[in-house]
Amino acid sequence: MTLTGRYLKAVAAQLPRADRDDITAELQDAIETRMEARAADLGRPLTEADEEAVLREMGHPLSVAGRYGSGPHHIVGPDLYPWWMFGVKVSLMIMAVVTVVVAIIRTLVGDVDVSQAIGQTISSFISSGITLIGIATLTGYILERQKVRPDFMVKWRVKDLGLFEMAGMDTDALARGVGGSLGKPAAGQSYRMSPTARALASAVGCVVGLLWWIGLLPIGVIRVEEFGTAINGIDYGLIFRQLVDALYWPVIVWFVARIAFDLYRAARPEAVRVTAAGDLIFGAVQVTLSVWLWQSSPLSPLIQVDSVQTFVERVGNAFQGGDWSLATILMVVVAWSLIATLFTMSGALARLVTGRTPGRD
Amino acid sequence: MTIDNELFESMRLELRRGSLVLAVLARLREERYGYTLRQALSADGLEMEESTLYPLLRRLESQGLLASEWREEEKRKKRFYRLSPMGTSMLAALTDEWRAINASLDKIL
Repeated sequence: MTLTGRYLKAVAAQLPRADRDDITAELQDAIETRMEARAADLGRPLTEADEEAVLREMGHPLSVAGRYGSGPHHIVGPDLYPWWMFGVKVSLMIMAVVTVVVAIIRTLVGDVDVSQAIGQTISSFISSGITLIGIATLTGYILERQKVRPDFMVKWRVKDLGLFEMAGMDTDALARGVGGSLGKPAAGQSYRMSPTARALASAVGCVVGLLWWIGLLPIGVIRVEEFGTAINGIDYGLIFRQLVDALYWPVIVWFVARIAFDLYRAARPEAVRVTAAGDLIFGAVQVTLSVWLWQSSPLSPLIQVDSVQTFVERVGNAFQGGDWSLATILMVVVAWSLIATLFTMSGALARLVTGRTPGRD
Repeated sequence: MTIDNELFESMRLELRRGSLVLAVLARLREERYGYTLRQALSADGLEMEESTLYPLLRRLESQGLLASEWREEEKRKKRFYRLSPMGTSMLAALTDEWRAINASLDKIL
């Protein structure tokens, strides 16, 4: 096969089948014309080195074929790139926080020592980070090829920009963001995150949580069922495995529903009553979960107490003695989760009745 | 003050890029094939590599601005391009736009 033939074969391999023959025929004519002109200039037939030089001047087959492609010539284009970068930053931030918190808890309960926790945290962050960036890039690739940009890119409001301040990744930005999400103004600031910004932040957090739950995102080199082994004679590993078995699919359904609900909230921040009703439903699910964990789950024997007084005594003993067993910590977490959810539901009920969000537009 | 050559080259290419389509459409008021079109543009002071020109010709054709046909000439099959009716209208519109931009720039420079 001639050099030109090999070159054209390499170009053709990168071209869409429908246009392949047409394009390579045109390129062949261009190459042969160029070679004739070069031979005329040199006053002699071309050597193989001369032919190679002409083909090199045409350009690498990948570059040549790439110019014929229709559609965007990039994975994530210049318009979408800032959004891609923002999504990657926020996801990595959330993942870093979760990874570090998990490592701290594991160290505190004695599951791993400090050096293991540090090593596993770093390796987990790197592998999870790469997975997150891949998912963000795939999402960007799909969005780039849609005919219409999503609403959140074109129909935005200035008051929704609080979330985007967080991605500045400095302590001031985080303080503004976290202060806004807790409903308390940060120091010197009266600005609170808008419903759209909070909904988007929640959606991103839920996506990260869902990917971790189904095992696609290894955060902290830990699955829930791997958390803890036998501590003080209690096999927490078995208990958590039983919890995961019971909750695996319900948690997935919850995450998916929550992500869909958050995206709806982001798109329709003015639908106060609908989002309040949604918050009530999700709150009811969380209350059900808390009650199940308290009364009927494999964790119940460790955390359930028969009265508020017993609860207070147990927490008081832990504070006084400084002996916070994992069972006591879990008891407090479940109780707090129940109380916080009931509080959130009361706010949602108020919004459902009044049709307004207190303190906002 | 001397200018950075790399920066100048990148800005020069950006400046040129916008004019290539107009140049190609203008030269195809007369039917040509790729090589002769490239030579004509080169004689006008607009060098363009085949690897840029041919994909541009295909894109303009897919946009309905050019028409093409394969014909045998000098014992080789060549693809001849010419302006389509829509291409002729587009050339006129772009020429007006170009002249307006030129007039504005002349006032500023």
